[in-house]
Amino acid sequence: MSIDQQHIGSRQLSSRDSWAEDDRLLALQSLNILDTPPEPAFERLVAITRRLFKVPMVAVSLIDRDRQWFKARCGIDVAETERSISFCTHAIVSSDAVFCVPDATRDPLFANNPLVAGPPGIRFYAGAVLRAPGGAPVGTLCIIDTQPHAALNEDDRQSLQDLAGLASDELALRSTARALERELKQNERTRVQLEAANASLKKMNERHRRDLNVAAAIQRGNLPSPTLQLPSLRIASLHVPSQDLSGDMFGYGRFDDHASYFWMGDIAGHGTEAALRSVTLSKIIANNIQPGGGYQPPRAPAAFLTQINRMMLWPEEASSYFTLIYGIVEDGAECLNLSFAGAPPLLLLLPGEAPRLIEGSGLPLGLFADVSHDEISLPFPVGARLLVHSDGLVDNRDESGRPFDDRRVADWLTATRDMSLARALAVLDAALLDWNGGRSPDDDMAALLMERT
Amino acid sequence: MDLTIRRVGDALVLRPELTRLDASVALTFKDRIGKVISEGEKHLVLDLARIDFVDSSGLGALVALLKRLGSDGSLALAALRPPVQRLLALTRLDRVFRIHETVEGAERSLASDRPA
Repeated sequence: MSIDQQHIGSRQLSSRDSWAEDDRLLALQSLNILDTPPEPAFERLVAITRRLFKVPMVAVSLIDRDRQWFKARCGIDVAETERSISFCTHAIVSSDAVFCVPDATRDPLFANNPLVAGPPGIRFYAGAVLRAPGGAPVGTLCIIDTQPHAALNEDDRQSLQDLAGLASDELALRSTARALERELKQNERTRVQLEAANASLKKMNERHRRDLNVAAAIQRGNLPSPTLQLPSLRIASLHVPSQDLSGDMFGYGRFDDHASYFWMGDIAGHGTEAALRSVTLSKIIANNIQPGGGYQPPRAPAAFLTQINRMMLWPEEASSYFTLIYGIVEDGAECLNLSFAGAPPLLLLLPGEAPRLIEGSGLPLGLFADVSHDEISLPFPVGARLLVHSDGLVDNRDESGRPFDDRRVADWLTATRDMSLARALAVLDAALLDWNGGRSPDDDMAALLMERT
Repeated sequence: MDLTIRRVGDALVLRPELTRLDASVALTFKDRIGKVISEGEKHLVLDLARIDFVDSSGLGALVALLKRLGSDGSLALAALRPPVQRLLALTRLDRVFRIHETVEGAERSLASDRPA
């Protein structure tokens, strides 16, 4: 028995690897290495191996489903061969760490292999297994000669195994680097998408801001002109929207040749819906009172409220409604008439007296078809002042949640009784701002301060 | 917004776990209870014991729910705190809703309205 035959006899061939072929192929695919261009690390590795073992052919070979593909090669002309004639396909299922064929012409497994019988005429082959990060055998680092060799000694086997280990490490590094690269690319894509989303949000935001500004300007345009002069009545006003758009609205003007009117409305809610409705309310009231327009609106405040309610009935599902206080001051009269529709109390300051809180109850408007309201007559002699305001004013909260309440409004009214109306309201505005710590108020705030002249 | 729900006969007693029913929660409140109405509930009692402030948006939500229930349903308010009571009086909505001093009172009233 020749040495070669002895060696063949000692070679351990296992008929099936502990790795299922599908799992092995999956591990190979996930390396994303097949059919990639040459890389310096593998090129250097085959060059070193060739110098060390002094063989004409070295390859980093990867075993795909039907082929072996060379990631790096020297002395080999082809990039891949069929798997069926590959030596390496035997190496990866061998239980030996290094699969060695000293003389292929004398090995029954390879003697008829076309690579042995024909060009390049392989005689010697030794391959050490390359493993993917999970341990799957995916290929070999192999040395090949056209001359037979003695079986590799222990040192050579160890060297080939160590070099194959380096190649496996490189595969792992490469796979980690690829994963990181993919992640970076994904991050970059996400960043670009986020930027695009941000830009679109910003654009939308700018458009909304423009729309809000226009709406706020329209709303302001419906407030009475500050220069409007009324006989026997001076009026100043304060309007602080909570978020650019307000549901608070007020108005005043001439009812006819003998009287002036005033009103303060508060649409439930804030924002666009409330602001749009407040403009509607303002238009409807103004259109109903057109001195000399031929049409005679009800002179009594309660009857006027009934009429406005009918015109402002909102659809069933709407949760919006509005409160309104509406009053008439006859020229030269020492009294005024008004009606409350769910509006908060007002404050009356008669000359030489303390402020009086006047409460009137009444259903808000816009909710129910049939409503009737009470009418209140108040003394309003020369020098008397009247403050009507929206509920936001007395519900303006400080940091600990305390409301600015009626008592504070009454104290302010007393303290500023000798000031001009505009000056008095400026003091109130400052006090309100100070009370809520300079924040934008939670609710809209509006106030009308009137004085009988 | 947390809502504690208890069934009493064919009515539901709902307690919103809120201290303020204002613009910041009014829409959520309306949608949450609106969902209960969509599920076919006709008679609701709202336990407002914890609520010490209602603003115009909150009141609007209550009125919208009342309107949604229509004439064959009912919405009773129970255990109102003084500021809420005052607001309902000022707006005369205390005449539109059924108001009960206590939740127990509301439940007794339900029982006598619809004897078993």
